[in-house]
Amino acid sequence: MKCSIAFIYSFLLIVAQPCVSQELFPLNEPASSVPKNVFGLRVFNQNYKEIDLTRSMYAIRVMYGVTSKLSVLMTGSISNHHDRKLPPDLVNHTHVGNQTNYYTQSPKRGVTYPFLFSGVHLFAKYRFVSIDKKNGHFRVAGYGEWSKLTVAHDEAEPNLMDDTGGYGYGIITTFLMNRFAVSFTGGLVKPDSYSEAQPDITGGPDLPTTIYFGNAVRYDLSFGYRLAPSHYTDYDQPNWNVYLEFRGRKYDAAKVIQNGVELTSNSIPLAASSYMEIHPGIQRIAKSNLRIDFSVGFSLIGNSYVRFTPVWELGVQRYFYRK
Amino acid sequence: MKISIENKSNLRLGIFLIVISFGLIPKQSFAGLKWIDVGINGLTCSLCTRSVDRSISRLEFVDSVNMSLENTEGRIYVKDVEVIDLKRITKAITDAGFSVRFVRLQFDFRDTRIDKDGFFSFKGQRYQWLQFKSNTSQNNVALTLINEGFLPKKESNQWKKKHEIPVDKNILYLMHEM
Repeated sequence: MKCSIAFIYSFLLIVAQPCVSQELFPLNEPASSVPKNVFGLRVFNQNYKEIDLTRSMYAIRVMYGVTSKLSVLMTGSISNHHDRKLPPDLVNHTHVGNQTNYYTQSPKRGVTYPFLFSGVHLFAKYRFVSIDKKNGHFRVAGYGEWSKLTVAHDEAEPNLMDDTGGYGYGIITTFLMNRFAVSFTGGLVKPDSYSEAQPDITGGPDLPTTIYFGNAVRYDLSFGYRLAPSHYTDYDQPNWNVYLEFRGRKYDAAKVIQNGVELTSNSIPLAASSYMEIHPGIQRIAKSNLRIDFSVGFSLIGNSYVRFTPVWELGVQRYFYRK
Repeated sequence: MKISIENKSNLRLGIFLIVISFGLIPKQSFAGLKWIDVGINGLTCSLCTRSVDRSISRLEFVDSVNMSLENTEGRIYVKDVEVIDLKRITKAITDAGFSVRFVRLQFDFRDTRIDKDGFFSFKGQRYQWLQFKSNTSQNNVALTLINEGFLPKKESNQWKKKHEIPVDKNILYLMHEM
């Protein structure tokens, strides 16, 4: 927390200097589009410590400008966040007389999982408002996303790219002035359920088990500034940009149905919750094309149960123009 | 004829000077249209400017593009081809995700005939120079396009209203000293 406050203070000192804004946010997409008929490639990685081990996600994203207003992004990822099956200690039971009562509990943290292909994520955004001025703009885009994942997610929070299948939609609003860039992304996430046959802990036959994850509301706010160069002269000047992004989520509780019966939940990660994280970041752009982003996320209000903080993210991105 | 060593040296020097002088000729497309200046709105970074640059450079009638990253303007040199479609330049800018602030043509009319109402044809396109006066200098003149798409919509409409321009989509209207 102290670290994040220090960073915010440093950031505010920096933004007090006159400079030109940037909207090439490391975490969130701006309302602006990928140029028409241009391909983009992004490789990114996310890491955080969970007890004694490091959880990592590696992803590759292909971007394409279908029209001047419509962009599509396809991402494939691998991670060691989950196993192919739910944790064996997710469901426990008690005996009251002859009756067995099943309930969910928080699975043990810090368990080693193999790196698995998580699945694919599709994202499309359509820019429908553009008010462009010299050195500035106000833009609004609608987005839709969908993911198909094969890993066994055991927390309530849906996270479409690498944890949960499903779909989502929302609005991105990006505003730029000479010194200041801000973008707000608000949306809904409607996750798919996850089903498998779980071993019966009492020794009986496997039991059909389904987790219905909670719907989520997404509210992200991003700020960006260009530190250098102070004046543009050519494409070869390296650009240094700083970013401050807030990532907010509010989600409903998950329900676990086993053998047709809803289990009592004693699992904190399966409960409804909300949180806000702060992700300061820095970016270098080389030759006006190659982007290298680095950001660190800290908890600001509440905690995400899909990952621990601080969370370190590194991304490299570039466009490929047609001849 | 026998050429002396001195004459040979002069000949080499002459060839050298001719070659050099070709290299020193200022870059221009050809006699009629010297260059096209475009202003682009919405640009905020060099990456975006580069996207616009690449989008315009891909047009077959474009020879080269010099972008001013600071002023978000570009100077386009065109090839001496049969057809120069200026609408494709504005489309290239919008395809890259940005808007046109202005399109200004740097003309030299010495080889192009303009009638008394300011109409002329050039590279497959009909133009009208509004408020044209035959005594105006026609060498090295900067003319700004005022059709929709070549200026922000509001500005274009203001000009159309002010000058009561007839709506003919086949004609590109030009104004001097905007």
